[in-house]
Amino acid sequence: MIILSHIFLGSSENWEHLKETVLFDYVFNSLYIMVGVAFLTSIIGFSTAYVTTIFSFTFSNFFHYALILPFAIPTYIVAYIYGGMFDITGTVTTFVLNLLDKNLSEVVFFDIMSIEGAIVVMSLVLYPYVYLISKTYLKAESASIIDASKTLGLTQWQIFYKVIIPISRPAIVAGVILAVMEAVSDFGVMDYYGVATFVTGIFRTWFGMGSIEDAARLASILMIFIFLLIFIEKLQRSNKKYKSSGKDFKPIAKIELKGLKNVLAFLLCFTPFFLGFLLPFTQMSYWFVLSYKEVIDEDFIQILIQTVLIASFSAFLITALAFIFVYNVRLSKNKSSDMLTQIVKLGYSIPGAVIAVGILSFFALLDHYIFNFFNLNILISGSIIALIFGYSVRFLAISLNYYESGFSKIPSSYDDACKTMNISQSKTLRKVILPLIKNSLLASFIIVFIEVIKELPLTMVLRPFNYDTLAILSHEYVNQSQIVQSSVPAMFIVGLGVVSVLILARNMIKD
Amino acid sequence: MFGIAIKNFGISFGNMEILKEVSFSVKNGEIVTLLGPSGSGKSTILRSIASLEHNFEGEITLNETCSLEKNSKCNKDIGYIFQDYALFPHLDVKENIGFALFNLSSTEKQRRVDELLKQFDLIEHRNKQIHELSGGQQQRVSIARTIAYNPKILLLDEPFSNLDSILRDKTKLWLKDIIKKLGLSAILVTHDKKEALSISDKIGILHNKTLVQFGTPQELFKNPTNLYIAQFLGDVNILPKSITKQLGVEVQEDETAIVRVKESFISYKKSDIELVINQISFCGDYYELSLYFKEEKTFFIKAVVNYDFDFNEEKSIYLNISRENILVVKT
Repeated sequence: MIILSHIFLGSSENWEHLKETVLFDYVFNSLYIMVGVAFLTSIIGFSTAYVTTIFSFTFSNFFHYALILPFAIPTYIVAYIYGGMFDITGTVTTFVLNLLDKNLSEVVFFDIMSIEGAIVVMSLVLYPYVYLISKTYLKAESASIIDASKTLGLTQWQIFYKVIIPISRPAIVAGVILAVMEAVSDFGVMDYYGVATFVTGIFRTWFGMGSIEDAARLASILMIFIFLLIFIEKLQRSNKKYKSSGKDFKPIAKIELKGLKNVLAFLLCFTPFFLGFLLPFTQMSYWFVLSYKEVIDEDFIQILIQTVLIASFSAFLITALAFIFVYNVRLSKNKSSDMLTQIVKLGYSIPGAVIAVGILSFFALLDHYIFNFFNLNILISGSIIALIFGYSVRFLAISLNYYESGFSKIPSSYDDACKTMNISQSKTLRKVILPLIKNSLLASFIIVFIEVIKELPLTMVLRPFNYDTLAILSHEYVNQSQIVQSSVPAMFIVGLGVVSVLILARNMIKD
Repeated sequence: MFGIAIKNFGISFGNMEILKEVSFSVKNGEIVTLLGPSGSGKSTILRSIASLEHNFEGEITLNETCSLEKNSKCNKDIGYIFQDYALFPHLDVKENIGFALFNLSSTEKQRRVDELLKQFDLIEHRNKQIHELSGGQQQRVSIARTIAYNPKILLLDEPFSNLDSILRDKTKLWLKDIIKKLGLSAILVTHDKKEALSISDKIGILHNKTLVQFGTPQELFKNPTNLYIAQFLGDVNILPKSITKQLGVEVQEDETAIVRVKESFISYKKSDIELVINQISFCGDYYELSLYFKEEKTFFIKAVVNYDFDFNEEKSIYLNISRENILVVKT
């Protein structure tokens, strides 16, 4: 609300300057990125989802999981690695030029450090959104539709473009919107590749021009962009007419591919896996081996501990808060509590930079008017409290989603049964609800933990002076053109993410 | 002595009135079934008795003296069997059964659980998880869990709806036997008339937001107060006014004359009512016929004849009904 209120502020000198110079670029570049990422992620995500769901080919079972792996590496880290490999002085560029014995001016060169480069990199990391949603949809819905199409005499190709693509449209759009929302909110990639978007603009206006009001005004325009996307997504979901009941579920009998088709299907899946995960991960590992001795010292260990501590504490707090929210809605069956939960959930769709601006403005007001008024010597802005508050606003939605999904599997008759047996509320919670919700609780904790470790813009703005996290350290190395060294904190971020996901997966399988 | 007495009960959700002016009572050891279509408010009455709904009007008194309005704790004598059984999936059979026995010492609890496992034929399943049991076994665990703390009143919300027809018939009789042996006052909610007629001492029919008739199954079956109840409780044929006049049965403007399908005999023996066969369906032991009156071609009736009925297209077919089987009910 604080951010949105800035849209109604009167004009300022800085704002006029922004309007005349960069505002058009922000709007154009943000739209260009949205269109580009939407185009690429829909093609990569849907084609791989279709091929791995309908066909059986070499390593198809492996790709089923491997295609999700790009999610494990934060986009900004992939961007740093790609920059280090493919920019004009990058390792791969230099290697190829040496091999060809040519200068840069003598060859056709795709500059990765450009808006197009940013689109490609973002798409390689964000396509799993489309892949996952489309695959889930195709697995649930397509078997009987494919059988029916076959009996009507359609060829495999006709089934694909006449039936599968039209029925999958809602799933593709849902995935694309998530990817686009993530892309338009990004700071790390755009900052490193020098692309002027709303998010980088917020930082430049704030730190460069020293104007928090105008930064907030830019943030408010970005928020309108995001809310428009959310609105389209909701509209899209409410218009989703192609829905069948769960009772119709039938597993898909996969078609085995041979010869050239087998090779093509393999390549179709291997390429995004290779470019989105294997290549950056291998390069990152190589750089890690080269530089870990130089980078890992007492300060680094201190930052690692700091990161793990703040991520654990935030994850604990957010998980607990979300539980209170959702359990309260369940108990009270109160529409206003439910509405509050839905509003809180919007937090995740708001870019970290926007939340940071909003929180700073809020705490600045609090520090200035309330604490000063009562002569309290407290300054929340720039403290750990502000940072954790920021994480809570941004990531509470993740936790709420896990709980809502978990609670939806616990029938309300369990609570009613306890009431009729005169079991107290606290005993019902201890003996029935908590044991049944524990997987959601763990999932929430782990996912929030990973997200906090990865979060860059929000941490950059809200952290206390000299308080670094692994994400900040990685970003700082990149800013000092020390890409190789940046791979060390990046490796720890990815490593912590992978270990956490493995714990989660093991626990879910065990259960 | 009454186990449950309900007086002028009414309930609304928001602006939607669900039930009004419902009054009935259940004696100790009696099984009362509330019968009605989906959404008629049957389960809402049960939930209100169990204090799961609070915003009702009227009075609910348990065991003659305990009024729910005045004392929220008087529902401690209530046992509730849920449609989905509400068994806790993280606990095994014995833990589910002993769940509500928190007031007993562990030895007493163990003894009570063993007793129930034996009584409900669940001993060999005691350590199984709920998902390892069949629907019938799950239901037995659910009843055992409820009986465990010795309730005096049992509320059953569509308890047989998840069972197949053979198991349903078996469980119905078994449950009736348990309720009678323990002398409980029970209210069962269902939309299955066969279930209601066979298990209940009394039936209450809910229609148009209220209780339209309450009595023994025989009373309701023989003397339904209106056409809805007659049709709800059994297959009936509506007789056109021209036919009732012919048969000398007096029917007022707001009344309808009906005869049960099983008492609508058809044969080639001449009577005053000639019929024409519209459709014949073979049902194994019998044929089900759809026929219409020769004089009233828009009036269809249903009749049943034995599987060895000798159909003859050449001959005319007639309806034979005795006057005492014709019921005149409010439309």
